[in-house]
Amino acid sequence: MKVNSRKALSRLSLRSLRASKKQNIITILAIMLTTVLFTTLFTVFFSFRSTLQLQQCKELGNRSYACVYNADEDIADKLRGVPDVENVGRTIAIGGTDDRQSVAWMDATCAEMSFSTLESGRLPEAADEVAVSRAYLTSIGGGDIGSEITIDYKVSGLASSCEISETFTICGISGNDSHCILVSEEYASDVLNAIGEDPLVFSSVVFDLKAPSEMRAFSVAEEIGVNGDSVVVNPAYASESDPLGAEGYAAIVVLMLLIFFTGFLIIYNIFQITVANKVRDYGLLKTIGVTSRQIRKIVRKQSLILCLIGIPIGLIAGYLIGVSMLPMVLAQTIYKNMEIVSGFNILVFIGAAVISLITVFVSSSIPGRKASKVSPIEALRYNEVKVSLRKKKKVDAGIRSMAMANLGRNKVRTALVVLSISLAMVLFDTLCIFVDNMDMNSYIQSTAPSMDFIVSTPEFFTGDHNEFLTASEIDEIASHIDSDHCGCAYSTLGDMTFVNADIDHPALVVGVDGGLLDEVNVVEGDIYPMYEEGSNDIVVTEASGLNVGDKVTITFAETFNYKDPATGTVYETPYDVPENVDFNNIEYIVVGTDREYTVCAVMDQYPTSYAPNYAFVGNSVELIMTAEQIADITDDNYEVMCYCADAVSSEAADKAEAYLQELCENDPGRYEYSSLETVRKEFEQFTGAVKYIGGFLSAIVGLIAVLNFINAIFTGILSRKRELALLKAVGMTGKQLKRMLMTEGLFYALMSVIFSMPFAALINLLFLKLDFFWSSATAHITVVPILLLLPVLALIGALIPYVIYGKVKGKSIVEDLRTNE
Amino acid sequence: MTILRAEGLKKTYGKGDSKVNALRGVNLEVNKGEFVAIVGTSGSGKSTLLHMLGGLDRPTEGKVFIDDKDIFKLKDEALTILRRRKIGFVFQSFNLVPVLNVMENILLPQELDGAKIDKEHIDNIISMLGIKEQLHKLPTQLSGGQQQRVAIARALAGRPSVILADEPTGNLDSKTSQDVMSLFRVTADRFNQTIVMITHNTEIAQTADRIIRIEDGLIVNR
Repeated sequence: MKVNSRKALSRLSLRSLRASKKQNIITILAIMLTTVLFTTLFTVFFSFRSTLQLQQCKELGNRSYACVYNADEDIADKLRGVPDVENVGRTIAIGGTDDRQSVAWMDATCAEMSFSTLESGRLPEAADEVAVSRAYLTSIGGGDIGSEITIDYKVSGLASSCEISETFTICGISGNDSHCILVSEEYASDVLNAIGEDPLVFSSVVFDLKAPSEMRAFSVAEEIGVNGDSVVVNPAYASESDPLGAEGYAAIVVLMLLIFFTGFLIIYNIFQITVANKVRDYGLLKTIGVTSRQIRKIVRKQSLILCLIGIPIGLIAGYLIGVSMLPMVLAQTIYKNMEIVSGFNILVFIGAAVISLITVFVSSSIPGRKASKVSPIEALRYNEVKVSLRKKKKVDAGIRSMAMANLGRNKVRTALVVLSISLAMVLFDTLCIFVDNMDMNSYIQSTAPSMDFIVSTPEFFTGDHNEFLTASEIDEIASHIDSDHCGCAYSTLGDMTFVNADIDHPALVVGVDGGLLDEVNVVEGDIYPMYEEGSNDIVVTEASGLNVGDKVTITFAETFNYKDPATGTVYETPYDVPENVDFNNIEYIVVGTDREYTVCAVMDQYPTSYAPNYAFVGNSVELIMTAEQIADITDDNYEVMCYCADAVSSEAADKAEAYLQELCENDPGRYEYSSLETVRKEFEQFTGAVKYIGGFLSAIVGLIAVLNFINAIFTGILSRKRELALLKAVGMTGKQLKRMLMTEGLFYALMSVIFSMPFAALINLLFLKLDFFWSSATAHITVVPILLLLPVLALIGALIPYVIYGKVKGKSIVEDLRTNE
Repeated sequence: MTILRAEGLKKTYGKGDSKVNALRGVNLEVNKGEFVAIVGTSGSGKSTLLHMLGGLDRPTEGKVFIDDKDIFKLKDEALTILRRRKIGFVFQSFNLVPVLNVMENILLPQELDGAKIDKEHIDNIISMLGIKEQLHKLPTQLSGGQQQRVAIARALAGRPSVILADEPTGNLDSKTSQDVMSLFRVTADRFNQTIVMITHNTEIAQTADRIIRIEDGLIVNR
């Protein structure tokens, strides 16, 4: 029998909704805009997250969720039997080449997970077959399926390692993202067996989870009887490396609260007004036996019906806007040329829908509760007019004070409308101040290098020093830049270097050509000794704690080991040290090439043109030596970090710019450069993104404010239809009436402006405290944008009541007098 | 058999100087099937009394029993449910739900209760009140007299213990008023329906079995 009552409630909810169409449109728009904001937010943040995750996966060479080490086909089979596990693949990794290609056998699934899906041909089956990436083929000078190539690589076993040179026939070619040389399973096992290693140790199984979770990855392992220690979750997905980070999630929460508040302001106000206007109806329902709970249900059902229309539209619009914003947000990261993951993520939609629904329910439940608490008797007598109008003698002043008094009648409504408009204005003002104060010169000062052009691999710019330009590439690039001030900086990264054989003080060594030494900003001492041939002088940073004249021994490490002084045992890696040994007592043994240098000068920091985007955690000594010195100590085992040049003239600079732009566009994976122009572009991209996103946010919040305003005026007129007719009946002319209503609108506008100005000023002050790219000397707060908005707001404030009253009033005073009776 | 009983009902509004004693101790008993008219001038407290009898408002002092149940011992929610099961209201301003049609208005209280609808009973009421042709119209499409008939039908539909009518003819012309009163009379007779009606019109009150006069919040004679 309960079904019956639900039907009656639904009918009541639906019918009374239908009776107020115009208001429903406003409510639906409000719900829609709130949903748009939530969906855009979620889409941008979570696509941002997946895009960066994919980028990390590409760098790691694998995008599967987790990996089980020492695992064979047996374990793969067991994993395939677990319902929430998918994409199970196997691999045997045998080694790597000097140019960072890994040599491995992979099954088709694992190849796909490792970005090595074949574009043509097939995976290797015979021992002499191999599949390589197109990029690799290009780098070694071409080749195609069927041609023979010789691959030199290094196998690092547990007990031994060896260099292998082998000739294969190409049987498949994979895409440019691949960094794998794929061999057959038979070949992989043979190689490992031949050097006395157990192939199982190098076998692993990769897998995905339908619902990714680190805990689940380990519990899956437990279920199939695998030790949790041999399971590793892909670091790209690990919670500690979440690209959004704590700040990202904090930003989401702040924005969510802001959106929730905006949505609440209008939706609450709409329902509040609706309920106030319908108190008589609710009272009537109560006299005939509708319970409080049922009235709450009616209000809830009505908001649900409106949500059913507003939320889906908002979801679609928000998604589209979010996707359009994504490239701008991604452009702000250090990564370039990313593959954007804007995949249709159902969770984003469910999340946005649920949170919009919660916003609507919370906003409508307070008015709903009020409606349900009305006592039937009071409802029968209810009249919104609670404040008696004070009579004024002068007609003109009367209209103004009547308008003011009208706003005072429903203080909550007025406050919410004013707050809603103010919120939009404060947002807009903050955006303006941001764009206004963003200063290109201070941006360039803080981010642009001190030289015209810096050229290197993309890895140099992201701080991953593991791919370097070759000498011939540098020659080629240098030949296109007309410069009399240029040179290379070199790095020893990849091998460790220490100061005074102390492992707590690793050295970050940069070697430079003589032409770049003048870039060093010397704070103490003299750099000239370094220009002399055979010099043994170096420059260190202030932070190193070393002084001019100090003698230091730098060790270029061949091996460094860990020694337990108690037992005398030497361990190769920190992981080999048994758990019961206290790490604080461990001694380090560094074996390598020693050279003694004299500190001739101290610099404040590395010159911006060739500073490595890399630093050691904890104590380290950052130093610069000459090209000869770095060649000497590393025995020519060093890399080119970057090439820096100043153009001789502005024409030469333009030419170089054009050349580098083309070079980098043609092979974005290999080359990247930085110049004033690229920094300027970054700046424009950044301010563009701020303008676009900030503009979108203030536009939507502004739209919501206008809606709120329209709704307040509209219902204000509608519920006072009879009273307005009464005023007319006692002699107020239509003109005076309109003037009164327009004055009410103007008061809203004025109050909002007055309210938002100190608020905006305060937020601006706080905002300027944040250290963005503005110089503290020129940064200033302003409320001019708000003042500029005043006429616009005043126009809306006057126009809306004018239009609405014209539409709402009936044909005659008598007709209007009869309404609501 | 007493179906409705009020004991020492008092109701005070306001405080201090603006204090109004609307009811000053009313005792009243209504038997099953009785048609009682409460007559009084404007401000005599008759509407307040009716609101108390119907559980729309709580008295300052005193009790009301419907079917020997002390209704003010109930919480608001339960009181509302009692109202829709035991009491039928007819108001001066009809108070039909404007968005529902006639039939839906009549059935609403029972549907809200999830009660089984007695089709035969409803048909009887509809034909007695002569609103068969209007069942699918909206209240705004009806005349005042027709609207009041619908309100009476709605009050009767749930077989209430008592119908409380608040100036049911207040908004009607004299011809229609007579029609409506005779309908009340027929209802009382045919369904043995207990009816308590308030009116300021002594002529209208003549239709009732018994007339109770109220002045300044007190019953003056029986």
